[in-house]
Amino acid sequence: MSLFTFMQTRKDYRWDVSTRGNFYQPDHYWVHKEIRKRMKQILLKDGGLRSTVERRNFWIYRSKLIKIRDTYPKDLYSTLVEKAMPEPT
Amino acid sequence: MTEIGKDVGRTFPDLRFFQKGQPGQEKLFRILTAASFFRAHEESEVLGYTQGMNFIAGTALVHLQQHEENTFWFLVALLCEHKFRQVFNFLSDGTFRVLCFQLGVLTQVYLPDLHEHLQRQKIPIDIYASNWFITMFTNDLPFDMAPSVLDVYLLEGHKGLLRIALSILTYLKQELLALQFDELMVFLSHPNARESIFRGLDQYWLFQTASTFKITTNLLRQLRRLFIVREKLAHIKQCVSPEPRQEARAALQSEGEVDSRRQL
Repeated sequence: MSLFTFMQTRKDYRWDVSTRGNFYQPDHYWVHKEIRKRMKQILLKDGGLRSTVERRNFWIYRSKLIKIRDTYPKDLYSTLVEKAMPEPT
Repeated sequence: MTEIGKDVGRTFPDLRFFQKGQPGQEKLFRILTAASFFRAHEESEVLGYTQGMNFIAGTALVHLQQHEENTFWFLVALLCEHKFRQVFNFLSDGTFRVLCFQLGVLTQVYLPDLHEHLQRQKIPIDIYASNWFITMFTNDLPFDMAPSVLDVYLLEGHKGLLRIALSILTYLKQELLALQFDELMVFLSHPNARESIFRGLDQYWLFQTASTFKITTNLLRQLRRLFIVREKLAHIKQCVSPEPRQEARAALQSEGEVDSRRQL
């Protein structure tokens, strides 16, 4: 059973599709030791995550990417790129 | 910026996506430049750029479906939220030196014969550990294995990196034991020298072996304290060693001579 299928089967796990495509609730995710234990088992013993999508979701989620992104202006990345590489006038 | 440009050219040159004329190089350059200008707070310093970030960002870019902005935020999250930025602190009491010390002690415990051999050959840990930790093994391990290391880091942090380092050392043990100083230096400091050996490495074995090393947060905390105490002792020893005393005496004497001349 993959990690995310396992998580879906948890009754006490909140599944939220409302937050900008981030369908996991970070606050409720790591509170369960059992899930963390399973995660460790998958990564270290079961040969890792199974698919690219699963990995992408895990990275986005575990790195708290969305939480961090939301604390800064939406166009920060493009502003920084422009600042670093100004277009020739 | 020139440094970033150079490193982008050296990032995964075997992958078509990162070859000249392909979108990979351009995207990676933009991500790294933007990250180097990023400030966590208005008063804080910019993130800057350190070698090694290119490999991590490159791996992330490929696995985040080549989405530039997501890769940028992932890199920022990894460096700031997950404190990977600390690994780039090469100062005497910085995280990098602490990690090297921890790896040294753990090697002594789990792989005593290898530790003894490396000690006898006078191989410093940072020769191989620098490349491993700074690039999060992404420059060393085969490309398909690198993302799994990032998975483990996201789950376990520095503990995970140490576990994988020990697992790799276990894998390389027989080769390393057969080598002498010169060969060891070449083998450990050049990732290309290890490339053919890593081709035979089984991902399942690597992570399963990594999971067998018992490393606790408490143990790492204690080792960190021990390292700090050792550094302080070494500093005190340096201060009270005869050489600086002689220097100080010589300085005092010369000052005295100047004073006596003045009096004359």
